Amino acid sequence: MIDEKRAENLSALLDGTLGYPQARKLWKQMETDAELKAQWDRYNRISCLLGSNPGVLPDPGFAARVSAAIAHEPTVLAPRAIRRRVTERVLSTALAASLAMVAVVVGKSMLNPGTSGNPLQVAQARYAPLPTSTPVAEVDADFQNYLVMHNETAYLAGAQGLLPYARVVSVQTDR
Amino acid sequence: MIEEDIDAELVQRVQRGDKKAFDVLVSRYQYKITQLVSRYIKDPHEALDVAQESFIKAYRALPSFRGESAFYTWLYRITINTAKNHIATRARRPSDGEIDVEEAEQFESGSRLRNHETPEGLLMTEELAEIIQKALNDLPDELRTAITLREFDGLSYDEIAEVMSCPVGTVRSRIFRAREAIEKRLKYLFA
Repeated sequence: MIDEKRAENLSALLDGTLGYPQARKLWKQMETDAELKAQWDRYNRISCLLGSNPGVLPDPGFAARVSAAIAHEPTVLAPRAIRRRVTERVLSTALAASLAMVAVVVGKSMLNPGTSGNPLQVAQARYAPLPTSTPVAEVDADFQNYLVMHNETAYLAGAQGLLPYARVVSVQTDR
Repeated sequence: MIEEDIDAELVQRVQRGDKKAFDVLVSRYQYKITQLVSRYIKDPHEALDVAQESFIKAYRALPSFRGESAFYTWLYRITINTAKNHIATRARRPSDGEIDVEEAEQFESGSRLRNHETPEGLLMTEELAEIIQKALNDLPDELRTAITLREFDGLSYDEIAEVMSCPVGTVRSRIFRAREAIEKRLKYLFA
């Protein structure tokens, strides 16, 4: 007979509300405690039977039959496969983040040689001296002023760096 | 996430040659898998055979499982494929030739394949439903409400606590006590 506390934990485990350490501990105990496992099975059966479409329930010998069949199978050996995968994930994420950072820094310096990268300065340097004979002259003056003003004030809202500048350039190209 | 972490740990153990860890994975998912199979194959014996075959296939394929998806998602796919292959094989047999597996996929949950339902099976289901309903009706109100919100409506403990205006710990206790009470009523079925 399992004690009430453990039975209540099993019930919570069934509903996925038990914390990791407790859940892990219960699963570990179920490997050797047949009574605990039998209780787990009963809760599962009740849960299935209460469902709108119970379907087929595994008979009590189901797990034992699978276990017996597995016993005749060659032992699986694929050490550290998942652990390696997790490490790969972490490394690839770090590498992607590093590359993105390098791309932003390099891109910024290539687009703004000799500038400090301040969006305000970039906007002024880019637009103020442009001759009216260039295609930029075709841009509506009011719209051009709007873009310059936008860039002059964008950094106040926290939009700094390459992004505001890139936005203006793309608009100009489209026009 | 907790479930996935536990699965990942068990899978690692199996991949290191610990067959006992696979028994735990079977314990964790045998109910979900047999219910999944029974959506495609109504005959209980066949459904259990296919569920068992799915677990064995999963065990054999574990060396190549790299953890790119959750273990259960992977097992789910193996099970669906095993069930479909089983139906296709059966469909090729002259006696069961009327079942077209490709056509069956057009029906939600393979409902077309439920023609294995026998009158005895239906009677059993009806009787069982009656017993369960009676067990539920006999529960004290607060236990019945808690277990109903959990099992029928799929509410989380937090949501049930809100609905019932009580702490989450009370919900947990009520659901547990409801299960215990139902278990006593259905004990003869589990024997």
